[in-house]
Amino acid sequence: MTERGPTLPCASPAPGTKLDIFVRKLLAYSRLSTADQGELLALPYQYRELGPNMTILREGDHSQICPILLSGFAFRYKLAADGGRQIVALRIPGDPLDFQSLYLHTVDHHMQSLTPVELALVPLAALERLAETRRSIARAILVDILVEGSIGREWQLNVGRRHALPRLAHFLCELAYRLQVIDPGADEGIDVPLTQEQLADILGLTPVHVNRTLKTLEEAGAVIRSGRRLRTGAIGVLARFADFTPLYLHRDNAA
Amino acid sequence: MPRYYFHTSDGARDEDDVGVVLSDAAAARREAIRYGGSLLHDDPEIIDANGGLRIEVVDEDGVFCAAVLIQAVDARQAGRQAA
Repeated sequence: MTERGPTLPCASPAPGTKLDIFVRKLLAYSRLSTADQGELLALPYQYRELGPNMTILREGDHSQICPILLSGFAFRYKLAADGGRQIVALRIPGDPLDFQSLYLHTVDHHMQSLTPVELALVPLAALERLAETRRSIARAILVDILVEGSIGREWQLNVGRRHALPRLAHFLCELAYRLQVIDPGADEGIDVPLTQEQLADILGLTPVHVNRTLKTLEEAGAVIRSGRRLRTGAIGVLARFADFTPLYLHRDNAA
Repeated sequence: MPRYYFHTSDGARDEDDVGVVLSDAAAARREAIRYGGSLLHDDPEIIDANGGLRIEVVDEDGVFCAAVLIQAVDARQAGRQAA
């Protein structure tokens, strides 16, 4: 994270307490011993709160820390020369935001908070030490990077080849499915903190087309809109429109 | 910036009640053309209705700004019937 973006006041809670959600996230995909978990929970970090639409990573940054998302949502994006924006990843609570900078020197995309977020800023040097001394932790880091890569491939298929209705429904299904890791009730419906314009930037559609497609889903009871709020119906209803199979999310990997 | 609404007719009429905020009527016109392209990409048969596909841009006051009309014209089928 750069220091240029405005930030809210800093607090410093006891280390190890707030990283719980991060360890839970890793455990959903990787096996980690109690000792490994203890080491992760004991990682040093700085606690920071940011408002929505604040810069977390900038293309060209040489990062020294890995922000971990304790609450809220954040997204990666890339910009075309004419200002066109493509959102290339959405990160949810518990997600590390920059494992990549452990092994690559330069940040190659931008990252912003979508909603108000709480971050734990972990020094990359401390993470690297853990990765070098504990094989299971190194493996869990790799698995997180690989799963994000797998989700990216699915997004390429989604944006490149699916029609608007299954494209939008697929994205919403995926989000609900991913949120189950931290919220077991997510399959009954989730709040989607994205505007029509942001959905358009994720899906490569025009905002008007997103609106039309949301209307179709709403008529089928797959989403509920009230004013600017968007909530999904049950995953089962969405999945009827979505061409969705969760294999690429690798939720059985820790089994 | 003003909000523009994009109503479509393709046999049935679909009223846009959300709209999009855009800089001016020229940007709204471009958006309507892109929207048409996006709808066609999804479903080429959307222009099969009598009259094709019509996208109408209306501003916040309900004033008509522009329309995009997309139609296909077929060669006459007479005399080409399969043996």
